[in-house]
Amino acid sequence: MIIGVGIDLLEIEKISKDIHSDVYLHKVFTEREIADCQGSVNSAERFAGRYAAKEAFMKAIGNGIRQGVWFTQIEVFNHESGQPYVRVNGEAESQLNKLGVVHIHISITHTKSTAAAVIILEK
Amino acid sequence: MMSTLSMDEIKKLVGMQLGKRHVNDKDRFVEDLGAESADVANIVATVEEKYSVTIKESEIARLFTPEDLFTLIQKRLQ
Amino acid sequence: MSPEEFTTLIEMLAWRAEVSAGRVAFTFNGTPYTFEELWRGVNRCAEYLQRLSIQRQECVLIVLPNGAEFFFAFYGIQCAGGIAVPIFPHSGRERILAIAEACDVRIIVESANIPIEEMRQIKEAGASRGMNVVTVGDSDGEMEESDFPTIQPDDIAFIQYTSGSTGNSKGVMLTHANLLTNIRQMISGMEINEREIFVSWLPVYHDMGLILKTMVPFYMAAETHLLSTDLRDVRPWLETIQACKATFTAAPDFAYRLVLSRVQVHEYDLTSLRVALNAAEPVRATTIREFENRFSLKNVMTAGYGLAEATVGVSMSKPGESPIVDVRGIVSVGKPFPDVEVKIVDEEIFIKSAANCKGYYNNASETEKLYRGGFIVSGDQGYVDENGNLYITGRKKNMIKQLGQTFAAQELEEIVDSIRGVRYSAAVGIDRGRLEGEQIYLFAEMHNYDSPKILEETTLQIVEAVHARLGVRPARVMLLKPRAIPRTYNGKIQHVLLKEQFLSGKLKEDGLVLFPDY
Repeated sequence: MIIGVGIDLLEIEKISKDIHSDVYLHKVFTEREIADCQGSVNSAERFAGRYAAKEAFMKAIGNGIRQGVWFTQIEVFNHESGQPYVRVNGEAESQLNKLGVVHIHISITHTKSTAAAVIILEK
Repeated sequence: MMSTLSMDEIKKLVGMQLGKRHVNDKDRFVEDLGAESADVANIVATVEEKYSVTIKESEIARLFTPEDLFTLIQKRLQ
Repeated sequence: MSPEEFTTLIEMLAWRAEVSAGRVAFTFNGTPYTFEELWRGVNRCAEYLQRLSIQRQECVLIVLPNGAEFFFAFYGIQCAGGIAVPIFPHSGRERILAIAEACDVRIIVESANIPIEEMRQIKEAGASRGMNVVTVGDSDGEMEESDFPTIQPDDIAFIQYTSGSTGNSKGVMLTHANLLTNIRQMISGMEINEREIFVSWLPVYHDMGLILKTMVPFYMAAETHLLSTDLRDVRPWLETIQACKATFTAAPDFAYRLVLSRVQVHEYDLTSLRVALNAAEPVRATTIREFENRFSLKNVMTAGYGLAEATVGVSMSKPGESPIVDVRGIVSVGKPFPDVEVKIVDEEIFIKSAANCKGYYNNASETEKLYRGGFIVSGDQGYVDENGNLYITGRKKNMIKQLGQTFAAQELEEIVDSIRGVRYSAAVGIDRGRLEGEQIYLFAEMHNYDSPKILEETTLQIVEAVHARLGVRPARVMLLKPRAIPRTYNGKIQHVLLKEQFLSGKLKEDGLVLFPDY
């Protein structure tokens, strides 16, 4: 049963400036995400996609921030196939447990200038 | 603080007040140096402060040149 | 929800934290802070204040410099239902306690960076008055689940103290509704959109820096880069504009003049600027012309007018258009922002707007004098031309009468400032009780005073210039050492104080008078 859905769309250009700051990166992304995205040819696109996924997740669980859920508690990875998947920790994990969520569905897409992500929470 | 009284000092003071670089002993404040009544009053006030003297309104009316001013102060200081 | 629907600043930040959580809210000296982080810091402070039993609409004093902590405290207080009272962080203990008492403050938020001895002293002084001195750092640690009160649009968000000597400072009360109204008026009138990139060194504890350079960008989620307020070096400001390709900056006229005196050649590329707002002080046509020439800009510097009592912004000249200057050389501050009504009564500017403040805190008599028929009495003199452009001719208090003629202190100061060797000047009207009544006294700080010849020559030039331009001569020209003229922290000349210091002989006693010696 679907109990939450979230979607987010952002302009890659907007985030491409921010990611030059190491300080900023560590506030929003985890070490592993940074390692995954940095250094690749389309790093801004990769960061943007993950960013959209985090925002989408917040929308999916409701009033996330108030309950102490922060961006770095949501990690987005890629399977070998390229398909993304989500891992949560900390308060984000507690929230999901409280809601009884057993599966997080995620999909990310890009155009040259935008990135979007959809998150569906299933219990 | 007592200032030295001299014709040069008086002319310099008048010049500063009126924005004039060259002042002669017998230049008339109004006709020759372009002073207005307020300027004359201000010259007098400045002179009073510099030399610690008092000049009466009636005396101001009879001051036409730096020389007049010098003479008056000289008299006052004796 | 969308920005148009915000009814309080807290709603605005909460929404930004949800919808733009990972976006950078602002950078401070290059360090970025996300909306999420900002909200987290705000909640922490709010929760801590609740533990200190903060009451609804209780005033809390903030003595913090530019930085993230300021925002955590400023909004934290509001989030907990209180009223923030930000003051100049380098205020003396006397002023801090005087304002704290005037607002029945129980809690003072100080900076953890002040010397230990100073902190001990202020904590002691505060304790003896029943005031608790805390730092933002005190709020760190485990946060409990909190229930924050619902903030109403008509709740007072903060009190802006007008900079004056301790005795006559007035606390302007601004509600959330006032602030959001003015934010929207400025966005519309200044043609700001979310692609705007702001750079500011202005103090965030004062209206223009706080409202225009931080609240507006937060509202729009536009980029804003804040710097420490230290104009001893103007380069960080210019460097940041260049590096961030900023489109919008704002400062008082003296700051732009400072740039002109320190940066001689076209060293920085400021061409990304769409607007360089010149406000908070009389705007000089020469400043606009020279700044634009120096940096090869065209129609970028705008002139603005505002008033703390009307929240902050009242009008601005149109971006992208040449400055409009009247026959006397006064630069127009443009047309009033949308929904701001301006009328001239007896040469004085009256303002009617939903951004008009609620009044002065605990000062019914001054508040009464502030309003007349629904309009705020600004205390500024001006007129509106046939095209609807507003001109500020002077501040009522700074008009000097000499034998029936009236002169604005700023007119005289502009003339004296243009004389070679003069660093800064002030004009004051003094009545020595003589027949002629009030007269013009001019005070000029000298850059260098090596020889008596320079002093005499400068005096002559000042008298000549003033007479040539205005047809009148000052009663006295006093040449002073640099920094002798008292000014407030945001650069405004304290005319009343200067007059007092001159008349009481203090200027002379302190060895600040160069010439004349009588």
